Amino acid sequence: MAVVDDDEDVRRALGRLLRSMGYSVQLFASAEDFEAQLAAVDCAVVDVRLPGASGLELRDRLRSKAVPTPVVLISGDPDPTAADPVRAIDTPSISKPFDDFILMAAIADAMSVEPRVSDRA
Amino acid sequence: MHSEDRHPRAAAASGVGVWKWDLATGALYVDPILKEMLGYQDCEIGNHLDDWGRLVHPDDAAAVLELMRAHIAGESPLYEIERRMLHRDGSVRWFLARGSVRKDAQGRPLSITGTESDITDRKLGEEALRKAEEIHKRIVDSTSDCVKILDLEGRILHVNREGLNFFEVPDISALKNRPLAEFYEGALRVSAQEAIAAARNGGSGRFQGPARATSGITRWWDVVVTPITADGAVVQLLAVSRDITDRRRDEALRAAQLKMFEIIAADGSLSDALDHLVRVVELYTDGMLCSVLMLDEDGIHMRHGAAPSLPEDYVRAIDGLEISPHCGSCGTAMYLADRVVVTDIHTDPLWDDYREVAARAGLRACWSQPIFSPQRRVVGAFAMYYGEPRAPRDRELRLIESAAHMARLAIEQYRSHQALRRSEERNRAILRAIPDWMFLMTADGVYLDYHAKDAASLHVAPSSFLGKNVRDVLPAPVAETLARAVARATTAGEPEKIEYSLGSGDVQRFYEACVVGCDGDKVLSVVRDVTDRKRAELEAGAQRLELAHLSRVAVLGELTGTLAHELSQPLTAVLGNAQAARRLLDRLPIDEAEIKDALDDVIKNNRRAGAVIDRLRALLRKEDTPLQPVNLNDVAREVVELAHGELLSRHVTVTSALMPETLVVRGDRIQLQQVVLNLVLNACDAMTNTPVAQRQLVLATSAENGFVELLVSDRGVGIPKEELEHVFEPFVSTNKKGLGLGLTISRSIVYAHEGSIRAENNADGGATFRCFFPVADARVLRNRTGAGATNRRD
Repeated sequence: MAVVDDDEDVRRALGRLLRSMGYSVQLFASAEDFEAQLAAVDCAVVDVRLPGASGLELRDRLRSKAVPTPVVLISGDPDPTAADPVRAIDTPSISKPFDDFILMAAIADAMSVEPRVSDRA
Repeated sequence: MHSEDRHPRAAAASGVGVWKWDLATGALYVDPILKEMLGYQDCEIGNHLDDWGRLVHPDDAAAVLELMRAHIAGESPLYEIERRMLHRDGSVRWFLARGSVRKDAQGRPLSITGTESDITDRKLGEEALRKAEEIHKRIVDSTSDCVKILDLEGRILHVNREGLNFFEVPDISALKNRPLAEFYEGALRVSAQEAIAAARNGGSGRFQGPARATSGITRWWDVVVTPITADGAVVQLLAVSRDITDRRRDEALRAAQLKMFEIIAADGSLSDALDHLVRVVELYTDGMLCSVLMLDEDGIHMRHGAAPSLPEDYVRAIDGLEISPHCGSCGTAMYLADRVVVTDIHTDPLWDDYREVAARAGLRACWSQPIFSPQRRVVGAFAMYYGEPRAPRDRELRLIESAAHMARLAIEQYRSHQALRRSEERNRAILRAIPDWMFLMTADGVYLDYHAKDAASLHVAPSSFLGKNVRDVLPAPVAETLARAVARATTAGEPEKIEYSLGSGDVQRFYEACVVGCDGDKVLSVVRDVTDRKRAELEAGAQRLELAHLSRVAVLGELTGTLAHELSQPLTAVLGNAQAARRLLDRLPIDEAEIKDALDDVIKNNRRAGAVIDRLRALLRKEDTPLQPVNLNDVAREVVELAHGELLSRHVTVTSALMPETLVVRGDRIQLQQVVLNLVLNACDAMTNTPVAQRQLVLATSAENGFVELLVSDRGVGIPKEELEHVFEPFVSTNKKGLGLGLTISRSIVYAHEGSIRAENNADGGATFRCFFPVADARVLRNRTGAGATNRRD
């Protein structure tokens, strides 16, 4: 499991939460960091608003790979998909702050949806 | 010895010599004493008529012979002659010769016997006297005074030539034996009689007054009567009359000049002044009437000036005529710019058109002298009229010239007075129109005079400050400020502006004073009540605060999304950590360290959320806060934090280049934040269409020359050249989202912090906004100076 968020507090809290759920977690401050590590993860929890490449761009790049990585978008904005309504339509996205079960549901959704996206692609 | 020889010595001693001429024989006997009187010995001159005849002065010889012949012929009873003889030493001696003829019974002359007396001393004395009298006579005749010799009763015996001239008589006969006092009238006659009596008693008398000559001309005389004495007795009286007419007239004219100036200075009319002149000239010249005509501004028409003694009909007829080469005396004089003398109006062609009107007025002679301006332009004419044909004499020509000159001075005086009065009226009108007060002060600050449109507006009685020093009138701080301005104004010569406020009752009023040097050693303080303006400024300040608040609210509106993001971050962290902790408690073994870390992060992020809310609350706050020391670097950092989300969402990268030193200015932290936030958001707006990779924003601070500078630089579209000057004006915004007031508010806040703000385009694209604030903490400056004043940025 990966968490990509430039806010250190949020990053650490989400990491701690996912670990408490039983995931092993890697934390990244930006899309570039994440891609540089070539991390093999089952799912990435990605903040939409990132310095450098945005969360949506990272999602697109991950989705376009041979083995797409499921992505959960998180955002501080009320409507995280507002900036990109069409392309984000299949990506589960949740607004901060969120309950642990919302996150779990979103992760599950992402991991179940992604193959469909792959098929479609 | 002849009987004639009996007393030769006695004859010589008495200065008498004897001679005898025998007509029958021709023998001549000459007394040796007589020969001695002529410097000869007896034997040196023969007793012949020829020898003797040679000693007679050649000029007298013919007379001697004639008298002798006449006497011998019986035509005179005595041969008697005073004649000159030639002395041996070459000198001429005077002798009185007396002789008589002796005849026989038939009446034939036998001989002549005579005596010669040396009368040289007497004759020389007489000659000297005659010459002295000649000189006296010449002196008396040549004096311009009228000299009269009177008998003891005061009757005229002799008058010198000047006197005859004045009386206009060819010789003394018409005056002889007339009492001097008769020429004076009334009280003056008594004075004359008293003066004569005083001289008769050995003293002297004096009197002054007018006397009318036989020609009818009155002149003024200063008469001194003194006694002429002989052997201690008063035998005759000498009366010396000095003509003081001209002197008196000149004095009267001088007085008239002053009087005219007085009339003009008292705002009298020019006519009143000229009337006075005319009356004075008339008073001192018998039978003469005067007038002053003015030439209209158009240079064509004559206007009535002054003619107090001329008939009104005549004055009316002349008024308004056009000047020409044949327009009476004055019209012609003004036309020719030269004096015109008409001795007889009846015959002079110049008066063809006006002869009748002149005749009706009883005018026969008219002389006119043009009056010139200093620029030699004709402005009028002074005229003298007589009731009979008359040509001017020298003194009358001099008088008309003087009168014209005096009229000119009066006209000039009147015109300059009018000009001055008009300018004073203008000044008064200006003073009435302006609301300012003016105070005239000495360089030491003593109030000398004041002007106030409305004395009541001064709030104090003039007597409470006039003559007093500002230090005794105004409160000490105000007086000091004013005194310093006065000192600077007098030394520098430049106007000094100051502002101060004074309490008046319960009301505080604000004043603006401009202090300028004047009159060399004085100053003029022009004071304006600017209370209303000040209040308006304060109200504007209040409005500015209100507007700033609205603007902050508007900014908040713009930042709503960002602020939600700002709050969502710590809340996410809080919730995440709390739920993680809750789950960790369910897992065994309990990882206490991890739970503790989670709870610490909960606390930390809760505070973080609280700080966001604090900032929000501060931005929404409305009231004005007192100025406090604020570190501008903190302000910049806070703004970057506040705008972090916004900057991220707009893909703007911020480079902060803040000076490491604490940059303290005095101000309102929230307002300063607003300025920086506005500039940052403005920069972001400008970069909307800039490629993401180039969306660079520089936020820098520095300090120099007592000012702190904060700059916000972007890589955006820049500011159109024509808008650079107006960029801070309201509603000049290319940003459609905002109110268009962001920069306006920013500027007013900067001004309220005694700072300045300016915008410029960067050479390599984008714009830079620079704010300057005075340093509140001088230590920053000192530190910078000590470090070599480099402008290093870390």
